[in-house]
Amino acid sequence: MEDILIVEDEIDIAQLISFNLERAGYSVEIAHDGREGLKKILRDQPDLVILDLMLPEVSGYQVIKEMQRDTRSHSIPVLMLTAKSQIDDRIRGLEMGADDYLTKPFSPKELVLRAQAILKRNRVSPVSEGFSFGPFDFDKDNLTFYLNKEPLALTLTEFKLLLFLCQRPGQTQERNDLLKVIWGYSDEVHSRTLDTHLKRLRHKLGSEGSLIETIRGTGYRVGKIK
Amino acid sequence: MTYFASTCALVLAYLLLRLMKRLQTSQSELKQLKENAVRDESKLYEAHDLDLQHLLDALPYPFFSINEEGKLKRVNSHARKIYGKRPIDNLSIRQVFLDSSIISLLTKALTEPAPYREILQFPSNSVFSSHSDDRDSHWEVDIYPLSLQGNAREIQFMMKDITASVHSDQVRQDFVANASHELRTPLSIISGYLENLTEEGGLENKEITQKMLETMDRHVIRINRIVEDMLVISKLESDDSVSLNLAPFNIAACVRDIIERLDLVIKKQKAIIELEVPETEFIGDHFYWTQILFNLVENALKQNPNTPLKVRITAEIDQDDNFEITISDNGIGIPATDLPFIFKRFYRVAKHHSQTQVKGTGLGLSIVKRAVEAHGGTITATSIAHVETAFTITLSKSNRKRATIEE
Repeated sequence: MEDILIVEDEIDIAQLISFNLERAGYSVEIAHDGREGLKKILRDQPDLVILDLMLPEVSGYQVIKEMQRDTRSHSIPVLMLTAKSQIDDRIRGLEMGADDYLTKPFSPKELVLRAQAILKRNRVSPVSEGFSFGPFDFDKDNLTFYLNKEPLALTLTEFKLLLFLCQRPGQTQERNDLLKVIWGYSDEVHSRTLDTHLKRLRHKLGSEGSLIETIRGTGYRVGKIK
Repeated sequence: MTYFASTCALVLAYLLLRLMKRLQTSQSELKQLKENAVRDESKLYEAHDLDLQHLLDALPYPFFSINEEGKLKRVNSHARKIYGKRPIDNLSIRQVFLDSSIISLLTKALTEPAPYREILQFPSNSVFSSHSDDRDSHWEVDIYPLSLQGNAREIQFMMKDITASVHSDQVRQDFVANASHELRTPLSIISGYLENLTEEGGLENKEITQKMLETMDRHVIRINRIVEDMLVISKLESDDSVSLNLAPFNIAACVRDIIERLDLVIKKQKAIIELEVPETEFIGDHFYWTQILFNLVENALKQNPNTPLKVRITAEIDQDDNFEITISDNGIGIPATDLPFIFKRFYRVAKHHSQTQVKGTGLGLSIVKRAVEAHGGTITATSIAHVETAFTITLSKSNRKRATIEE
């Protein structure tokens, strides 16, 4: 059974989500503020965190930031909940490393479907294997990435993006295809986020970042290694 | 805006008419004038000049006229007021205006003569800052060049302070955004459970259904309160003088009513209520005083303490008829960093609510403050966590009297 942590200060919202997720067969834990949320994330290492952005004590954005910093939590997917309607808030959350978002008021059915989609994408295949490409090593089992044999903290989204591109060297991947592979669907918010994710990924890879090429107007590709 | 433009047009038409008349006069009377002494002519001119100055001073807005060298030629009294005692005559626009946006606009009007109308924004340290706080000021600048063969011989312009209307637009926008944000949470809960209840077999488990309906009910009440609070605050903010229904009422009875309404919360929190309110008649708007006291007492009850929660309500009317009422509790309190902002609309202190509690509307304290001020009173807040968090309302006799007379 997969564990989901809900970080939400509105107790009735947390209960609504919890009721629906438990009914769908997940084991659910609730935290009422950002600080408690972070503590539980590091301690329990849930399979998914459903995170409200407007939290007392430590905001949702800060929770994501802290999660990225810690190797115990940086690959845990995050589904953010926001009452803010501005597109920029969602983009900011996705750019910071959240995997998906829902705006309030949301449909519980849709929330369960999104949670299922994220968990499915992240499920490790039973035959786990490593994958290597030039200076990159992907440990798909532990979702750990190595650059020139040194571990490098990538978010789950970055890990998946890079792996997908490296498994298809020399082939240009269209934006829409990338969006669908990483998030399951494409829309404006996610599309605007894709470029930021790749930009940050390149930055993290340092001099090896140039391996990722932008194909103007089409998408991205990783060049073949001679 | 139209009034402003038409005033400008009228003034300019009048100025032109005068100019033409003066030309006509000077032509027809040229001969005569030539015969007159130079002293008389200058006297006549001075009289005209004085007329013109009176007219400009009568304008409701600051007026400036700048000659072709970019120097200040004439201003009206409103413009002079902006500068106080600082002499500005004959100074260049650079020296007078000290702000790049208006200087470049004026320079443009001098070199490319045409009417200009622009809204400029000035920082709080500018001479055009019209407000005590550090908000930017917004002015509408209307320029009319008096052009002679393409080159502006002179430009005249008026400036109108529109800061208040710009800010009230902003406040309105923020209010709508915040209110819709506040409504989203209860709506999420209601629509979420509705979805669960209406799906197939959604009503099968009686116990769960009952629990869902109860939760939905709590949040319908919450939406109701948000909507009501919005109405109250918009009424309190609609104009400067809120029309109060002033009548004598018993303040102790009013407090007892409120305690009774909050009975459920008091029992749930196991709170101890201490009352020290004299049985005196008090003149005020009963509706708003109920709002004020209800919000403050409810707020005190929401505090989640480690010790048994104690809420004290003490009121006093001294010999000079000054009234003071304090609502205090020994709860978790308000952090010092939040204290200056608690009366702002939708401002929330990140505090630990008891877990079964429905959050407030975010408008309670701003309603309290505005209602107190409408009565001519003041409210202050102090807080020491777990010791005492107190809200004190003071109404001095003189202020209250004024409120009575206005009524």
